[in-house]
Parts: sequence; structure tokens; C-alpha cells
Amino acid sequence: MKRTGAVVAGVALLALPLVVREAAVVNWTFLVLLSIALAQSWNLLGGFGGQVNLGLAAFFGIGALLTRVLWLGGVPVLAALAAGCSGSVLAGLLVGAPSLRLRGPYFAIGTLAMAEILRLVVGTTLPEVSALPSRVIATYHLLPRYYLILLVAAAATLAAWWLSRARFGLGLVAVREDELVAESVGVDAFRHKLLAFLLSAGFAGAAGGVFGYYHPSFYPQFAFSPVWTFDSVLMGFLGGIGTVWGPVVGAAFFVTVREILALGLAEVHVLVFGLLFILVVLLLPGGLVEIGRSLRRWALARATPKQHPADLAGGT
Amino acid sequence: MAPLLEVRNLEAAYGDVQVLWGVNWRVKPGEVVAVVGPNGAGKSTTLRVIAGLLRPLRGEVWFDGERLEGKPAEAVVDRGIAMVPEGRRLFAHMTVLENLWMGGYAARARPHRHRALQEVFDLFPILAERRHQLAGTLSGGQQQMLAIARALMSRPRLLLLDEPSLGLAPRVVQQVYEAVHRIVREGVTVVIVEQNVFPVLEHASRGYVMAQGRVIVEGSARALLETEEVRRSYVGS
Amino acid sequence: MEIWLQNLLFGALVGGVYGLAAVGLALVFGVLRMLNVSHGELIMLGGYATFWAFSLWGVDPFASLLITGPLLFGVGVVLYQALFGRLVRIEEEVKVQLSILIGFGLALVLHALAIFAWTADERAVTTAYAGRVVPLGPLVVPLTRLGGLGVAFATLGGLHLFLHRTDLGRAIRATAEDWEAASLMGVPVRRVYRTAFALGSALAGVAGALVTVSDAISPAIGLGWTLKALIVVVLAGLGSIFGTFVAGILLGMAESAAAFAFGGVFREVVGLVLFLVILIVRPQGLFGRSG
Repeated sequence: MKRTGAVVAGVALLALPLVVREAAVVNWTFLVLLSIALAQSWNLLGGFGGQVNLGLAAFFGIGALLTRVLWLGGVPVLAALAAGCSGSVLAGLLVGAPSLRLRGPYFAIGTLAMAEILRLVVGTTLPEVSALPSRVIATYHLLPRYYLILLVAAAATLAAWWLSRARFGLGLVAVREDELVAESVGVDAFRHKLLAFLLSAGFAGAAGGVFGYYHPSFYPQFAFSPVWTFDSVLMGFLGGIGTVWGPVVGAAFFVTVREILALGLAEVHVLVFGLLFILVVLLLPGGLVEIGRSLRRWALARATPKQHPADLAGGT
Repeated sequence: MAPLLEVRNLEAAYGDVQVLWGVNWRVKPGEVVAVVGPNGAGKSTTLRVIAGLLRPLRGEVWFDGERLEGKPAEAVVDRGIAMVPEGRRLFAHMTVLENLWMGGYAARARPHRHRALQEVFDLFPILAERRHQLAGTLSGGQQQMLAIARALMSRPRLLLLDEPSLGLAPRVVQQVYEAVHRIVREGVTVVIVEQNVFPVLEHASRGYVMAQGRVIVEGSARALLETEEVRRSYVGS
Repeated sequence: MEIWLQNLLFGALVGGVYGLAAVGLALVFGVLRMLNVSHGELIMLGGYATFWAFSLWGVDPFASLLITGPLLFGVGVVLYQALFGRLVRIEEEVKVQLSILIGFGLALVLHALAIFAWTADERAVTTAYAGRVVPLGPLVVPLTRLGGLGVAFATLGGLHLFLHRTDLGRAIRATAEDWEAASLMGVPVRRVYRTAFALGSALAGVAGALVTVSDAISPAIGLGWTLKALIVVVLAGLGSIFGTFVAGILLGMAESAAAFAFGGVFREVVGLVLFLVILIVRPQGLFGRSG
């Protein structure tokens, strides 16, 4: 049933910009897909791997900056995107290897510190806003950008799906649950964590790259802002961390509710999400996905006609 | 004489792993009871349940006519049971004096702190000499003395010792047991858990042999020294 | 030469507040093994309490410490009971991670509430003596910042006395070392946890008051102060109040020197770089005990 739902959603998403003419709707869907892509990339390392990486924004920013600079410099967009993504993966390799040796909380704040350093350096060296020149704006089409982010979001979700099934993913989850035990049964914890880290960096970089291709004008250091990380963490947890669809549901929920609440008091969406986040962490680690599953189980239990014990006793 | 401590059909687990499968102990006032057996037998676990560090699954702990199982450690020490945990668990960055003072933290001990401190210094003069030294810098034997002294600060009626001879040289073990003797003479009932069978059975009046979460043999210390199980468990450990 | 000294002196004065901010965080981490990443927001709340006491009732910010401290202590008790106290039974590795997440959510909530209540504007307190300076040889010392350093030093001194000379204080230290052994002595561990957390909160409140006096506050200062406190804690290592205070002063001086020598942005960068270097090269910190 889940698979048909996914197929339907996939087709709908593919068809959306062709069917709906309102740019606002397509833009909003773009944002949701961007959020899904980022939330999924955090989820790969954070949910499946259990490593709280608070420096995700760095990879998003590297992808955005590299792609933007190369593309505006004349490099064809797909090559620029590939470069942006590769740059993030390379950075992930440089940073991941030493930082993954830090334990739990130190890894979290260490990655945050690294991302902040990068943001500050970018802010100083590239203080001017990066605006699309008029010749580019003249030929700006939303469609290619939309399909690119759809591709990244789909690929990231596919990666999550692969992690949930493949042996590598099971090994990663084992490391998350108990690293010592996992090592004792032959799982190389460091290799698993590093690969998940690189996957995460790669998808964040790809998402950043599309962002760099999409946004008409932004300050370079904005792409490195920790808000990107924090929002991804929020979405992931609200939807259900460590699951395939959690970040998808969480991102859709987050972006939608934020749009609605933004009409009211300022910052009320931050308050609401903060409270929800705390509730999820304390009471409902499965997030919205878990609520969905419980509801479905309850509905199924009610729908199934009760069988008399004698019927189950076996034929006589 | 009614028992001071009674453990009835105690069952306990760490998470999903059950380690006690129905333990029964009976300790009369003034006794020195040894509990021996191989690693993993559940000896320390039983002590931890009595001391209030672990809630049992089933069973009862009776102390002086009162049920204690499930009560937190803070309440248990106030009733008059003190435990010297395995590995001493001293506050390494606090001085000898501060460790002892912490031993007298319980409500039952507060009014008598100064007197208890003096008594404990009389029992262990070495601690008086080193009262301002950091507990982590003491030798193994001195640490064990401090750990026992700290437990005595609460003026317990029942003292639980978990592996007091662990990691100590034989001569030091002798000193520790001599101290235990002096404590017993003051009227304190003592239960000693040991893997190291010989010193404890020589100083105890009675004993239990445990294995795999149960008591498998009980009897007088001398009889136990000669039983097959004890010999086997000694060779096995 | 004089400019350099003046610069370093200023950095040291700022660093005193860093040290105070860090001790609150370190206390909670040392005793409860929880990393409260909303510590900066508590500092922000203390700052606002000071601001409003001054604006509404004209209470001098140094005097209103008598209100701010206990007020934030109470806030800490509430937060412990509602949130952090629920994590105490969890095993250590998971507990630390969960506390980071809870702190993160709490920071968002407190930030949003502050914006609702007081808008996002910056606030500052200008007392009658605000501009005065105290001459120190060829250098000058701003009076408010000197007062701030004095308050920080006195507060930490008081904390030290509390932890070493009172029963509850010793119980807190014992619990930080080995909570099971402490409970065997009859220490009410949950109550100790709550007191330690509330104390950490109160210390944040005092730090916030000092921030209001010398700088401006706004709902957004939380994250920056949490990071500062974290940097100092890692720099100093756990185990010594005085060591943390000194590490704070060192950070303040390093920041001032870096900003003066290389430009404004390096003020923030130097702290973060030091942080990473210490994490990798000497994880127990400059003054911390190993193990």
C-alpha cells in the first residue's frame, strides 16, 4: 500500500509544474522538496547512524557556493552541480575522518563549531550578496530547478530506503544501537559512520547546489547558516527519525504549518515547532510516522472481524 | 533468635537479563555470614537489591521485621544497612575526611557524626593520619579501610561488604579482616561477598554458596570449606 | 604597547563573564551529565529580568542580582521538573544526546517566547555611572565591567564555599563523582540533581545581568552565549571552578587580541578554532582532571 502511495505521489510531483500554472504553488513545492532533501541527508547520518551532526549547513553551503560561482562563471549547470556535490563530499572526507573520532556530544558541538567557522570565514571573504545578473534572470525558468530538486529529494529518499534494507544499513543501525557490540560481531563502526557521513554530505551538497541554481539573490553566508541544520533536525524528528518517510512527512508538515502560522504572530511557528520537538523527543520518538503506523494498526484491528477461538483451533 | 536480615525467593534482572532466580538468605544478629561462588553467581546483585540500588522482580527483603525491597538506597541506609560496594567507589577527588563526612550524611547518622568520626579514626588510625589526603591517592588497602570506615559512619546494624579483598595483597587482606573482626565485636552484623573463598570462610561463622542466581549450598563455614562445591568453585574461579 | 595592554585588559574583563557563564553549564554537565544547550537562553532571561527591574522600578542592575539569581533558580527548578528530570534514569550516552535535543527544543521555545514578550529589539541598561572609568596606571578600566568582573569573581567564590563547606554542597560534589555511591550514603540524588540544575540556571541569570549592564541584550543572544560557554568549558576541562574562570578570561583576552590584530570576525573565529584544537589535542582541557 505504501508503494502505491509513493508511486501516486511521485507521478503527482512529476506532473505538478505542467498542470498547475501558479508559480506560487510550484515555488512552495520546491521549498518542500528542498526541505525533504536536506532533512533526508541529516536523517541518513543522524537517524540511521545515530550521530548528531550539527554542521550540516556547511555542506549545504559548500554545494550552494561552488555551484553558484561555477554556473555564473559559465560552466554548464549540471557540471556545476556535480562540482558542488563533489566539493561537499570532499569536505566531508576532510572533516568526517577526524570528527567521527569524537564521542557523542563532542561530535555534535565539534561539527557545529566547524560549520560556524566556515560561515564566519565566508561571511568575511564574500560579504556581498550574490545576485543573478539580468541576462540570467531573463532566461530564468522554474521548471528545470523544480525537477532538479525533485531528483535530489527522490535520490535522498531512495538512499534512505536502501539504508533501511541493505546490509550496510543494518550494520549502521547496529553501530547506532551499540557500537561495542556491533564491533564485536565484525561491523567496522568507523567505516560505516564515515560512509553515512559522506552520503549525508553529498546529498546536502546536491541540495545546496540546486539552491544556488534556484535562488535569485542571497548572501553567501546565508547558505551556511545553522538554521538550515536546525530546521532539518526539527523536520526529521517531527516526522520520525531513522525512518524512510519520516523526513518527507516532517518536511511537508513543517513547511505547511510554517506558512500557515507565518500569517499570524511572528515566530509563533518557532514556538510551536520547539514544543512539538520536545514532545517528540520525550514521548514519541517515532514522530508523525509512528502516529500514522499506530493509527493504521488500530484501524486494521477494528476492521478485522473477530474470529471465534473454535474457528482457529484447526480443522477437525 | 529472629533473623535480622531475611531474603526470600528473590528474583532480579538487569534489563532483559534475569540474574537472580530465587535467592534465600537468613542472617541472625551478630553473625558473620560469607557468600561465595564464581563470577556471575548473583552475589553482588543480591547485595545491590538489599542496599536499594536495584529493584527486584519478585521476592522480599526483610530487615528487623520491616520489608525493604524496592525502597531506594537513601531509605535503606536510614534503616541501618550500609554497603561497601565492589571496587570501593570512593569519592576520589574528595579528601579522606570529606569521604567519611559523606558517610555520615544520612539522617540517622547526622547527630552522631563527630563521635562516629572519632570511633572510625580509633579503628583505623591510618585514616586519621591521612585525613586531608585525596582519597584517590591512597593505596589499595588504605582505600578499602576508608570505604569500610565510610560505611560505618552511618552506624549500621548490618554491614554488607562486596568483595573487600579484591585486588589486595594477602597481607593487606588480613588487615582488612582483622578490622572486620573489631567491627563485629562492636555488635555489627556482617555479610561478606567474596570470590576468594579461603580468607572469608576462615573468618565467618556461616556461609552460602551461590551459583547461577541461586543458593546451592549453605552451612557452617567449616563444613563449607570441605564441601565439593566450594572446592570446585575455588578451582573454577 | 599601551593599546595592546588596554586591549587585553578589556578582553579579560569580558572573559570574566564568559567564565561565569561557563561554570553554570559545567556544573550541570558535571553533576547530571547533561548538556543544556539552552543555557544561553537562560542567560538571556537573566538579562531581561535585570533590564525590566531597572526600567520598571529603577532597581540598579547590580542590586537586582538579588532578584535575578533566585528568579532564575526557580526557573531552573521548573525546567528540571518538567523536562530534564525525566532523563535522569537513562544510561549515560543516550542521556547526553537526549539532553542536547531537549535543550535545543527548549532554546527555540524560549527564544520565541522572548520575542513575543519583549520584541526582537535590543535592550540596554544605562546607569548613572555607566560611562565612568577607573584609572589603572596608564590604562583605564570601565567601571561597569570592573563591577561585572568583581561580581563574577565573588559569585564563583561563593559557589566554591558552598560546594566545599556545606553538606549539600559536598553532597553535590559526591553525586558528581559517583551517584550510586552517594545514594548509598543517604544522599537524595534526585534532589541534588534538581538543586545543581537550578544552581546552574541561577548562575546563568547572574551572567545575564552582567551582560545587560555592559552590553545590549536581545532574544537572539542565546546561541552565541551557549557556544561561548561551551568553548570555555572545553578549554578549561571539568573539575575546577577557578580553572573555568581563568579559561574564560583567557578566551576573552584571545578574542580581543585576535580582533585587534586581524580584524573583527576573528573575535568569533579564534574561540571556535581554539575549541576544535583542544577537543582534538587535549580533550580533558587545560585544567581538567583526566578520568
